[in-house]
Amino acid sequence: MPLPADELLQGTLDLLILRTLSREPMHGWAVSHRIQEISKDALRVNQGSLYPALHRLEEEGLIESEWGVSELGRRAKFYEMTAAGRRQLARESATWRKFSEAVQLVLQFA
Amino acid sequence: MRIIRKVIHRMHTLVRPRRFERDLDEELSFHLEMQTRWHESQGLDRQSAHALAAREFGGAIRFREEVLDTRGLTWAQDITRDIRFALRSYRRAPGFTAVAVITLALGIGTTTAAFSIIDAVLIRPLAYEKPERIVTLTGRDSLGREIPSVSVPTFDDWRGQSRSFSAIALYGTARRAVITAGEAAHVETANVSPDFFRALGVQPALGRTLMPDDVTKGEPVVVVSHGFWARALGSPRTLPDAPLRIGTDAYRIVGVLPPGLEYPAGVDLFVPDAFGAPWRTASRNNINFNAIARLADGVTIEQARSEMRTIAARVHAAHPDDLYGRGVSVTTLQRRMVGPVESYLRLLAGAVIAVLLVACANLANANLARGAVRGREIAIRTALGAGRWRLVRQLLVESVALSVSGGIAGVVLAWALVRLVAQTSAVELPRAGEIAVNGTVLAFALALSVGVGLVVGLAPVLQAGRSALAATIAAGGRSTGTRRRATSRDVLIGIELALAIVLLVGAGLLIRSFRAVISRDIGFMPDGAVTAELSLPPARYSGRRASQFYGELFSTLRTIPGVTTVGATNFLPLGSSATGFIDVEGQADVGAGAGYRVVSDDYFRAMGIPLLRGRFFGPADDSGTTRVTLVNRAMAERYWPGQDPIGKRFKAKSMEWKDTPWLTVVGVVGNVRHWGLEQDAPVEHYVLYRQRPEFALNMAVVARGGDAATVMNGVRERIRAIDRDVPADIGTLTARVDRSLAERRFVMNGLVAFGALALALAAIGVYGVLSFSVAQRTREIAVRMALGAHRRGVLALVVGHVLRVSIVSAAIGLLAARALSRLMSAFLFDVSPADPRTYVVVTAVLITVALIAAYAPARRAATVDPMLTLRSE
Repeated sequence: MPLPADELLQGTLDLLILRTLSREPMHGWAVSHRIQEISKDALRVNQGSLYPALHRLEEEGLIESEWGVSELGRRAKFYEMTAAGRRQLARESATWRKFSEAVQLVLQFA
Repeated sequence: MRIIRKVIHRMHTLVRPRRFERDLDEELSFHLEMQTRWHESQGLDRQSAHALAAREFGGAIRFREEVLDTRGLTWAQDITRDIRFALRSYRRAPGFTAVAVITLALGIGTTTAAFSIIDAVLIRPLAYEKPERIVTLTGRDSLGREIPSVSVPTFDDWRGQSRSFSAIALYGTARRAVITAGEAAHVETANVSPDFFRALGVQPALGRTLMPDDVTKGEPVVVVSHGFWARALGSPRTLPDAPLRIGTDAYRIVGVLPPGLEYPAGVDLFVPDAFGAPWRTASRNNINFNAIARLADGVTIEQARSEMRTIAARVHAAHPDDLYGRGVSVTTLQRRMVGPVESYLRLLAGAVIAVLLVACANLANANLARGAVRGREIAIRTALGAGRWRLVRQLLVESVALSVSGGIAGVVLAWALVRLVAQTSAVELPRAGEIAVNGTVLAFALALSVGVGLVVGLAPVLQAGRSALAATIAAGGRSTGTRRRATSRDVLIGIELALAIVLLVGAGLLIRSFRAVISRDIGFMPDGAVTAELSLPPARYSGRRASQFYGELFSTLRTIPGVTTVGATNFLPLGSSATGFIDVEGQADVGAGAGYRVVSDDYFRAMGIPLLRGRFFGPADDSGTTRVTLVNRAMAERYWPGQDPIGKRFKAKSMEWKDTPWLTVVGVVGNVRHWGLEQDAPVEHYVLYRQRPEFALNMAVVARGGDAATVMNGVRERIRAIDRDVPADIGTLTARVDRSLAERRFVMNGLVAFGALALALAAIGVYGVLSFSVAQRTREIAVRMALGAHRRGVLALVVGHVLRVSIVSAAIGLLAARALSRLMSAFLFDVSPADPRTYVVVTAVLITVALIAAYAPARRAATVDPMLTLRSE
């Protein structure tokens, strides 16, 4: 059963989107597809969460968008990481790692 | 950096929101396409791939709205978008929009016009310094009636003994002949004591006001009103050097008053006056002046009243034969100025508010109907996650957008109405010059528009909140005519009809009163008589010279083609008058008075006043012969009931400075309603101008016969030919009678107009609601018909419904009208507030109009084709 990514902890979806976009600019569908693929179908991003999140991140200046031509030869909106986004990703990844290690420890030894 | 980016983003979406929405739609449809492709690549056929992608996509609209929300569309931006949406949806329904905007414009426009008049006349403080501290002082006569004027000796006592006032002043007004640019004209002039402007608290716009030594130095000076300065002098930047000619004297202009002062009404020139001899030593019964004062710091009006009561008692004790100074009233100036019109302005304001309520009820109903049609749209948007507040806001914004559009049209209407009332002199209002559509009025109109929009918009909001969404959708958005909603529509219609009936009853009672008033005998024949009010410069026309002037004038006026008779009087009917106490020979002091008028020999013939007994004045009556007088019937009956008054004698005390000669009655003439058609004729007597030349300086000439326009020109030319310096105000007796009815006509026309407006709006409301409900019930009607109902039965169903609603609301409206009509008993004349004829006629009119409004929709219902309707399901 795939886990809807938007039911994860607050901020997790943002982190996943930022991480996905950190390699290369891509459009919305590709972001959701990539998350699903990498997580081996464990995480599925609901479109209803994806686009609000993308627009929110863009508004916060963590990513920016540009209209380009997709692999279908059709106009598509590509999202790209900004420098601020990169800093945010670094910070959030570190936090997440600490957090998940902490949870891991509790689960093992508590 | 981030913040700047954010701002730029928002600016972008704010400026080009539609482009943003289009982009979003494109992005989402691209996503759908990609997902479909992906499923296809996994081996599904195109159709199932698309279906699967769409399902995964979920409520596309929902997250589209969510994106729009996260997009941080600011509140202002939302409103902008809502307004744009509202305007778009109104553009799609031009008929509805036009009716709604016109309805609102009428409601808001009339209310705004009423507000601008009431604000200017009743509410706004006078344009004086601390205007609430200015009071008027008026006396009481021996019968306890309030007398607006006071004698100089009594005023001197008030001034000498009172401590409550920081300034107390006396003034008297008169029309004087003023010559500007070689043209003689009448100008309302006030003689004022030097404290006058200090009492009012006026700073001059130019020059100075009056000083105490202006009355002692003896140089004639004058202060002019702002209006006169602009109109007659051409708004010079400095005080003109050339003197102003008032009568035969030259006055130096020393000051110009600021604009916006309208007290005393219509006065343009203020000349200082010490009110010395002969006034100071004359009888206390010469009450020719008015008193104003400014309350001293820390003194309340109550304290001033109590002090003045004491003083008045003391004055009366010292001068028991003084008939007028037997009490004193202290009233604020504003109340004194606007009091007479306050009650009818309030009445009209009430009528206007009723019209506004009818307009609002109409709009609320229209919105309910639209809300029912849009129930499906609202239900879907709710199901898709649109927040409740969001929908409410949308509905309210739509409603406010509409009402503000109506309000803008209403302001234009208000502007026209205000011009009509204030500038075409349909009625004379105090402070009329201050009435304007100004900033306050615009703010009022805006607030009113928004308020109306919110109230009217709430109706469908409450409905939308109540409606069972699922049921709405399931029913295909058609049969949303729940009982409750239908009832609330009927209630609104009922309110409209009831309000209309209240106004119509008021209008009906006023029409009946007006008829009763104009059917009264005024006592003279107004038709076919031209009048010329003129004033002779006293210096040039002393003694017998005035009599000579009139003798010459009468004979030259009789040569105007068509003119048959020429007469003259010092007071025309329906204007000011003089009253005095009299001593009748052989009777004890009866404590009442009689009016007196100075007339020429032919005055009664020129006016068409009948001689009942005795004779008119004749050439034999002259300055040297016995003083003669004619009394009116009322006076004959009052003082000599059952006797022949011819040959009886009496003395008119206040007509004289000192000695009062006997006047011998030589004839009795018919009563004239000198104080207006609604009043009883006063007890009066007439004296001949040749025997009283000092009262003959300001006479009004009456020329009967001929074509009015020709005679008016002829009179003007002939007066000028005798003396260019004598100004004359030319008019007709008919116009004079009309003017005396202006106020009553104004109130009646106002109520008739508002009643008709309310009725028309209510009719539109009935038509609209019925059309809608017939459209909604087409299926039900078709089923009934398919089951055997007759067309006539369907017609009866719809008409019967309207009849029931209008009868119930007529009953409620009549009860309300009966209760409210008591409030307007002051405006009624010779008709009971419960006049059954009015109530019956008005009810018949209302029900007829409601049925006419119901006819078209009822016919539409009756012509429903059951087969066609049911097949189209």
